[in-house]
Amino acid sequence: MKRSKYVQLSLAASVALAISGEAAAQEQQRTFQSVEQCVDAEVAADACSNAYVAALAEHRRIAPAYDDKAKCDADFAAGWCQKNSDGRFAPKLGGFKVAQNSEPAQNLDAIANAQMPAGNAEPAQTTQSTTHVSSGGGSSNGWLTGWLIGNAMSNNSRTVYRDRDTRQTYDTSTLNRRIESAPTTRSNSDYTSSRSKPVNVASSTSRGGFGSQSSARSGWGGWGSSSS
Amino acid sequence: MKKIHCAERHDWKQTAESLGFLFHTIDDEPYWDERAYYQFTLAQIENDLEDPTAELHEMCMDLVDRVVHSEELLDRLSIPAPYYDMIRTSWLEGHPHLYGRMDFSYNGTGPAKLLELNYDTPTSLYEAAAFQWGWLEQCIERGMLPRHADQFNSIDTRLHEAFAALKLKRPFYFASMKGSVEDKGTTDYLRLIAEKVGIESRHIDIEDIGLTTDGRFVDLEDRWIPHLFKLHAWEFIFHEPFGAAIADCDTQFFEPAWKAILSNKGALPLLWELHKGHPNLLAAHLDPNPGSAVPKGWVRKPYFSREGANIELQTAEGLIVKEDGPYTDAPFILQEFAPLPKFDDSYTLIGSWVIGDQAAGIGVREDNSLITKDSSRFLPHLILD
Repeated sequence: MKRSKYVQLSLAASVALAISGEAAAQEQQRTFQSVEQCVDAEVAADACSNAYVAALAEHRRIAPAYDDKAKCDADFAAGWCQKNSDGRFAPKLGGFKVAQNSEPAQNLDAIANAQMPAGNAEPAQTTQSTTHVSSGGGSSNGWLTGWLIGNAMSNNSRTVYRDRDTRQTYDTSTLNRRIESAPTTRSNSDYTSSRSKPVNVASSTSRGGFGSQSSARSGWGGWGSSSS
Repeated sequence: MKKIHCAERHDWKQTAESLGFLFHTIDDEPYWDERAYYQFTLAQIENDLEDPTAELHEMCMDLVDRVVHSEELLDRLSIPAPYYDMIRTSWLEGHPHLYGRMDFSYNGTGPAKLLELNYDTPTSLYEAAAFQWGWLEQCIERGMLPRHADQFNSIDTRLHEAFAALKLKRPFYFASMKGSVEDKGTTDYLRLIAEKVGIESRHIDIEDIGLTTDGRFVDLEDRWIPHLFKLHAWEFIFHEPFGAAIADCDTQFFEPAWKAILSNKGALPLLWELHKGHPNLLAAHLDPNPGSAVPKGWVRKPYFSREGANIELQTAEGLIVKEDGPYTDAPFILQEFAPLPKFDDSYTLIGSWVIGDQAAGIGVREDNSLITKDSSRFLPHLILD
């Protein structure tokens, strides 16, 4: 097949939210042993990895730890225990549950029938709520989620980027080091929420330095954008 | 490759609007048009479009590598000298890119001919990646098309992979020009994909981006913008007040600065010089005399132009077709004329997407003119043998 199995169809997150509410009512759970198995079962990759990440975090919190492997094996199946980073032994994660309807947006008929919530056409900050994960799986795991999806998706396919010998890898670039080491805030541009904005902050920031070239060319037969 | 007239889905407008695809009709003219579709064979897709796209993309990457090492070539592309270092660094340090689109003239037989590269700010992404896909899925589901019909379209999957591969840990801002519904559609779509792979995303209008006195790009609340997707061409940024602040800032730009080399039509003569006679390339050279009439069988294009603006051509039979526009302040190229195939009364253009470094799918657009403009219509396609 030369087309995607699943697609981010909705541009309006509010619609996705409305549909997920509908889907939650008829939710069923399925259990998987790995993210790959979950993706292969045609569940959305982000739902799989969100569920896995959440389950793993929960597992680490509640799984018993043993000082030696034999004791652990005795309580679980033989060979099921592994050594943790602290040198103790604990059972592996057995599986994780995912809501069956975690890709509700794929059903176009459902979308056509869904009503837009009145006065709420703004896209929400996140679409995470379209997936149903039993325990947490918050944005702090975003990087791991991304990594899991990347791995699960490239499992059966070529990788999306090619290595180019003549180039450095971005990880070691000066830009990446600048971003990684940068403090999130600086003295004269302290983080401000929209509710409590100190008056002196805006004076140190200039705006309008992007977009002027494109605007100058708009108004010519409708060329209002800078894209092609 | 055939154009096949078909029934529209009775509820497609309602579906489009529910999904937030609001620019399906532009200025009362249809943009999304499913009164017909294009049918390709698998061999046409794989041999004539997918493989050449992948090969041309590699030629483009090789071209960038050559250009960043040559001030002469950077100068030939009219890139301002103060930006040479920034572009060179962005390439040599491997700043990642996300996507690009090649436009082809192709009629189902013979090699597809590369008309241009849209490698910096391509649009028509959502309709190609998502709405077109939904059209096929729903038509199959409703028995309007056979079950074994397929589509060359893994754009969405590849985008998920590309975003996941970036491993971003800080917020990713998506910027488009104020008032452009179409551009906002493109950035919203990319933003939702970023969210899906666990990246925190935010929208900002390009005009609202701020620059602090210590050289940091910030949002309207003066929060740092660590990663920025800008649907705004580098050649504009080079001449805007904030352009000079980019080289030393702590914001990662998408597309990266080295894309300025490929979004420039001056790249087409360079590709031709390096691969003269390549079946997918058209002869092209710098126009020594843009004030003169376009020779028969050639097209004149400005280095920087979008949506068909400032393009002029003369067919082999002597017919002159010309689009006015605002892009008159840069050099022009002359490119061998490869007429777009005509289906009914429309001229058909194929946009072939590259996501990361992979050929990922196509979108078909039609216009009433030999020059494809922003008034073109987007038609779905399928693969059926």
